[in-house]
Amino acid sequence: MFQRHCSDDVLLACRDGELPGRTRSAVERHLEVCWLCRTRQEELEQQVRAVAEVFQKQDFPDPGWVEQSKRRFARWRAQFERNTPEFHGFTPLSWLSGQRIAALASVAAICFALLVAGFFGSRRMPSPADIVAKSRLAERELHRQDLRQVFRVEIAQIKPAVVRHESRLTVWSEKDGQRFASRWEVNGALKHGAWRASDERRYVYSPAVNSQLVAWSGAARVLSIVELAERDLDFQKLEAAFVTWLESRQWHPISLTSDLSVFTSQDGVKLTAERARSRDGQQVLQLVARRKTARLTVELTVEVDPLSYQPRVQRIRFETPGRAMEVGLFGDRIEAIPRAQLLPALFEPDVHIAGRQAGAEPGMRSVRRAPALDETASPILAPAEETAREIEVHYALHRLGACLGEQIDIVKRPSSRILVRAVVETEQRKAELGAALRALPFVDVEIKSLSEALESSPQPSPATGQGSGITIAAPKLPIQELLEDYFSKRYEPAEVPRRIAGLANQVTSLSGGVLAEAWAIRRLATDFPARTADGLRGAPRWLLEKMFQDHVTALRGKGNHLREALQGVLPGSLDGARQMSTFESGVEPHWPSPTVELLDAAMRTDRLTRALFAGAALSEDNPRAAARELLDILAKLDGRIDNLKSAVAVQFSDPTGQLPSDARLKGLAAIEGKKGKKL
Amino acid sequence: MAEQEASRLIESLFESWGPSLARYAYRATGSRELADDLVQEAFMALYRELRLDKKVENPRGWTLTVVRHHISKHERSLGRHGEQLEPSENMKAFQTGPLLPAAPEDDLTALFSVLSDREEEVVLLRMESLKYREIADQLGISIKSVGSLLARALRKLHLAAKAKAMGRPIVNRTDRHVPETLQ
Repeated sequence: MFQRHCSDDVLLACRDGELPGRTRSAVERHLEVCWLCRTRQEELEQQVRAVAEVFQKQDFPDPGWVEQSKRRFARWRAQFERNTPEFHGFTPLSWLSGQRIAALASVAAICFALLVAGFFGSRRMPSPADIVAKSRLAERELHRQDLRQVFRVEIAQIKPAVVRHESRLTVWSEKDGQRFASRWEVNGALKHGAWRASDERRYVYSPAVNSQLVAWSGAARVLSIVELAERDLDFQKLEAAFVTWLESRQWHPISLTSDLSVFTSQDGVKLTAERARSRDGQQVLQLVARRKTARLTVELTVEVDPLSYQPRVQRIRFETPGRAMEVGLFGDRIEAIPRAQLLPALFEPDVHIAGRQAGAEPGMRSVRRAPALDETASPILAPAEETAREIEVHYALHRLGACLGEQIDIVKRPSSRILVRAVVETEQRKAELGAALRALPFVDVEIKSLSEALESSPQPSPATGQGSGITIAAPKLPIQELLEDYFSKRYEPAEVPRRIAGLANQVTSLSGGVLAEAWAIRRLATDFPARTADGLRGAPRWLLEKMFQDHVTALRGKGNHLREALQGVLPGSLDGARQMSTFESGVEPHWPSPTVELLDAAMRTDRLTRALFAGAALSEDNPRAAARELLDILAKLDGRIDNLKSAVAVQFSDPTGQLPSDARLKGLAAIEGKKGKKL
Repeated sequence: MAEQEASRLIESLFESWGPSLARYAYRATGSRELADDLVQEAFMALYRELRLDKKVENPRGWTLTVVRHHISKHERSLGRHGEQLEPSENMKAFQTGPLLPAAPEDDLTALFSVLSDREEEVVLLRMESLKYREIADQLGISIKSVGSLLARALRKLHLAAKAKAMGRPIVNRTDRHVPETLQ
């Protein structure tokens, strides 16, 4: 055991799992007895949490970053592979010098350019008006079906400084125009929503204007996106104008060509068309309508698929001498979908918004979310984001120790929100959990205190006819004689029963703690299996790892404490058992089987402890054999904790998963060995 | 390495490590666009190495080294010319937009204002789940130093938080002073 206090580095390295086994055990044992070091470790831990919380708030990179970067890389790779033929096994003849190759390449490039020019020259470019007409027709055909549209919305200020906001707009609409829903979201937070489940149930939610849900009959007329320029060219106002434009859709899907038609019919607008490449490298027909005045230039661009004539992108740019703004709608997914996928829940406002409904006019039906028939259809968030949210909820509960056996249910909702239901012992605990969970904007909380839960459930009828006096007889423990023998050698006879009761209380409480920690680990492994954990990146991954590590550390501490309390009192040699644990800890760890083995050991520990010290039923005939078995399991528990710790380290240390686990373990062992020497 | 194999490896690395690398580059440069470009540069360089059949033992560490190298070039360039690093020819061809000005002061920047550059770097790398050994390799320091830097950084943050709560002025790194309580 450490005789002196631990330094901050050692305390932190212990929590980070960076200390070699022996030093770590020494530090943990020291922490069990030293309040000062425990407090300092907690202070460090508070800062780790503070940094993690701030880190989590970072909005860069956004969820679409990986896909965008992969596309960008793919474009470069294609060009790289084209320009470096030697990678394809092509060996230039030895007589070809660098100059000759360059000359041949130039000739080939000229020939290619001529061929391309001839090819495109032979294909007559349709007139801009033709393209607009065909595109309108194609879009109308599509709008005659049940539809889902997902757009990436980019609102940007180009001048005087570049500011770019990205968001997502999703629209569901039925072909007969009966039901409609649109959601405009920024980083998963709803910025504007419109729902129409039927003629009577039409709502709009716009937190910038009103934090409550309001009944909505629709705008007086459909606005063209070009009319956004009639407002001041101010970035914030442009976003507000975009909301106005959204609300003016009159429950119709987004039409990219209708605005173009409206705009081109105005005076002074010049329409051109050309073949071009879209941002993602696809060939498109680009329609550009431009109107230039002394004060303002408006340019509306629509990109159309050259084969199907379906419009995919619409960009509008407003420019004055000092300012330039751009609003872009990039169609990520525009598709007809079967009616069965248009679940009733899609057309109802979110529960947390519906709860804030304004007015409550008499006779007006309350907004309730219809049950979703198929929660897997049309997910609003990517699975990785949903998992990240779940981990945040688990972590919030973990910080308050609510993961250790409190009655809590975490339910995922179809709207990607998470419902936390709980029954807790006191009002204070209810307030504590509620405050922590309400800090997460995507969580709905239903927590009852025990007294509230009892009030709401039917009360059992009072027992009648029986006397109220209950006599409690002190139970005789199966190892009572053994304990009396042990304590009578050390204490006065009058002190012995009190000592036995104290030991029994202490060990049953510790074994219960061991079991609670083991259950918490098992639940984490079940809720976030290896495949899910593999897919996690950044803060959620880190938080999950931290929860595992916290439980493992706590479990080890309680296990050690329990073993120390029993050492010498019960017959059997812990040293011999420790050798067995060392043997077991050499087993190759497999995720998540160590969590099952650990839970099994914790359950057996708890069962035997309660049987020996709390009068629970004992299945073994011989209490002394049961006591030996308890010590044996406790020693094995240590080995199983080692196994789990290795598995956690392997699971979380290399997100690329490119190194085989045995190589990683050897590497870890080598690092630990070196550190051991240094320390 | 074959084209398909190299491409697959890069794609999986983009998913598993790309966001972490981008976050790190963003914190170091203050520009999202530049961070994007640096990550692309690093992955392009890795792809070239793989296609040339060169052995890359630790792709994560390798790409991080490339990014850090570019960032230090960028910083040197800023020091010499007082302007931002020009993107390479490769990057110009794929540039999605003009470089943004430095990122506005955010919560993390405010939080880290009390840390030295080295302490901040160690904390950032640890936040991306790098082990002490990996951080030590990157920064060319010992594992023990990594532990000391991390602990010192957290202690400074704790003192700063305490000072803030008590309404005392917080000494940030621009003053290059250590809080009194640490001396």
